[in-house]
Amino acid sequence: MMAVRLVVAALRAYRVHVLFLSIVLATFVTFTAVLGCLITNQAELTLDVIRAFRAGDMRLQGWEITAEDFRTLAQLEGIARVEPFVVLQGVLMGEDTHVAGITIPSEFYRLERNLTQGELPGQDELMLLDTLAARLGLGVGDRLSVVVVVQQRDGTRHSATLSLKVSGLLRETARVPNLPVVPLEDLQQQTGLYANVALVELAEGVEPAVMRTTLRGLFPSLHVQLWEEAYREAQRQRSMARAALERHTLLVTASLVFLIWVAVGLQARERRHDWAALVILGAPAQLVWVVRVAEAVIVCGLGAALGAASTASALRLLGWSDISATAMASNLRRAIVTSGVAMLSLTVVQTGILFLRPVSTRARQEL
Amino acid sequence: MTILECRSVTRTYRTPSGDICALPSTSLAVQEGGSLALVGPSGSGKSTLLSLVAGLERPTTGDVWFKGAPYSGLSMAGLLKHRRKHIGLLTQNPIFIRGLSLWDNIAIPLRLNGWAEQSIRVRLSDLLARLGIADLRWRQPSKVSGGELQRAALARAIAHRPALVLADEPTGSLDQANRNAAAELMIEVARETGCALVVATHDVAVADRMQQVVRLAQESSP
Repeated sequence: MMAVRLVVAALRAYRVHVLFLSIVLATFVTFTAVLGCLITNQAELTLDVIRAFRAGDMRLQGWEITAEDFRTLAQLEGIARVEPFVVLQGVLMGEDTHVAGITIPSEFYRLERNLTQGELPGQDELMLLDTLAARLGLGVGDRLSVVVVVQQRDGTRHSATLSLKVSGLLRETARVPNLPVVPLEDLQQQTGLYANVALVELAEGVEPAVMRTTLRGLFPSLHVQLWEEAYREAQRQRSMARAALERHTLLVTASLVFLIWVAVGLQARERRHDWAALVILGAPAQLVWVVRVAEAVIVCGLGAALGAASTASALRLLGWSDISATAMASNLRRAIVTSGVAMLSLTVVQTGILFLRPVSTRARQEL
Repeated sequence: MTILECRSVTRTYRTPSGDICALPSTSLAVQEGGSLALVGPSGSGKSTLLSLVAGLERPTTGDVWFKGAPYSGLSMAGLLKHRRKHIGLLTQNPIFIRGLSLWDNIAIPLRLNGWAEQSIRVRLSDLLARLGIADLRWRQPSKVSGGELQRAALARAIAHRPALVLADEPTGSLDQANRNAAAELMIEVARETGCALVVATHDVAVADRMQQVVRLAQESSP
C-alpha cells in the first residue's frame, strides 16, 4: 500500500517535460529494437538462402527450361524439390498470361493475411479478389473456367482452359495482385509455360558434384558458368547479410549506451531527492527498490506502447507493413528478446546499480 | 539513563587528493529526555556527527552507543531499522516527497513502523493541531511557506514517538521571527514527548536553551 502511494506520488511529482523525455527515450528503444529486428530478419532470410546453398543444394541463376523439362527435373531420382524462380513477387513476367502464380513462402504469407474467406489454393484451385468474386457471383467452393493465353519463346501462342475451384477470397489492397491467383507450379504444369529454376533441393545423401554431372548430361541448357555466377551471388549475399547483422548490433548497442546515459541523468536529477527522503526516514531498501522499479516500469511501459504504435505507423507509412509483419511472425522470439533486453537493461541500470551510491550520498547531503 | 553516547568518534573521507578529516575525535553523552547543542564553525563536523548518530554512515574510529548498544554491532539494514524506529530527523531545508500531501508525508514514519490507519489519524490530528498546521494537511509541500514547512518537518520527526530527535540547523532557513518561534516550538514539543534532542546550530539563542552545549573546533585535514 505504501509503495502504491509512493509510486502514485512519484508520477504526480514528475515534471511534464521529464516524463515526456523519459517516454520518448523508451519509445526510441522500442523503435530501435523493432528496426533492428527487421534488419536481422532480412539478414537471416539471406543467410537462409546461403545456408541452403552451402548445404549442397544447387542454387542456379536464370536456368530457363520448358515445363516438360521442369517436370523431368522434378521427377529425377535424388532431387527432393525444384523451386521455380519468380520475379516481381509471384506474377509471371514475360508471358502473356492473365493469371498470377505464387510460390515463395513470403508470398503465401502475404496473401494469407489478406484472406477474407477460405484458404490458400491447392492443386486445381485459385483465389479471387472478393470484389471480383462478388461481380461474378462466385463464392468459396464454386468452380470456374479460366482461359490462359500463353505466348511461348518462339512467338507462338496457344491457349489453355483450366477448370479451377475457388479456394479463397482476398481483400483488395495495393499489395495484392488484381488477378486470379493459382499455385505457380500447377499453372506451369497445365499450360506448358517456361520456368526459371532457382533452386534444386537435393535428397539426403546425394552428392552435389555427382548430381551436377548428371544434370549437365541431361540438360544442355545448364551451362557451367551459371554455377560460378550463383556462387558469386551467394558470396555477395553472405557479405551483405553479415554487414546487416553488424549494423544491427552497432545500432542497438549505440542506442542503449546513449539511452542509459541520458535516462540515468534524467532520473537522477528528478527523483534522487525523493528517494533520499525515504532513505533518511528509514524506509526499507526493498520499498525504495519497489518504488524505483515500479516508476521505471510504468514510464518504460508507456514508452514501449508508444514506441510500438509509432513503429507500426512508421512502417505502414513507409509501406513496409508486410515486411514488418513477416519479420515479426517469423522472428517473434527475437523481437521479444531484443526489446525485452533493451527495456530490462534500461530499467535495471536506471533504477539500480548506478543509483545505489548516489542516493545514499544524497541522503547524507540532505542532512 | 544515557540514551546516546559517542565515544571518540572520528570520520575521515578518502579522496584522490588525500584524506579529509570531517570530524576530529569527539565524545558526548545525552540522557533520556535531555537536550544537547552542537556548535562550531562551518566545516567543524556538526552535520557529520549527526549523520553518524543517525546511522547514515559509520565512523572511521570510535563508536556510537544507543541505550547501551553499539552501532558497530548492527548491519546497515539494522541501522536503517534503528533509524526508522528510534530516531526523528529534522534538516535545515526540510525534504518532503513531492506529490504527497503534508499529511501523507508526515504519516510516512508511522506507516513504515506499521501503525494502524486509525491510530495514525488520531496521532496526526493531535499533532498537527498542536503545531498549528491542521488546516494545511492536504496541501502539497510546495504550496506552503518555509515556516509552515519547518513545522510539518518537526511533526514528521516526532510523529512516531522516537527516543531521539536529531536536528541540523533547524532554524537556519527561517527569518528571525519564525526562527525564534520554531526553536521554541521544537524544544517544547520535544519536552512534551519526552524525547532527547540533539541540535546542530549556529544560533546562540537555540544553543542557550539546551541542557548541554558541545563545541566542535575546526581541525585542518592531515
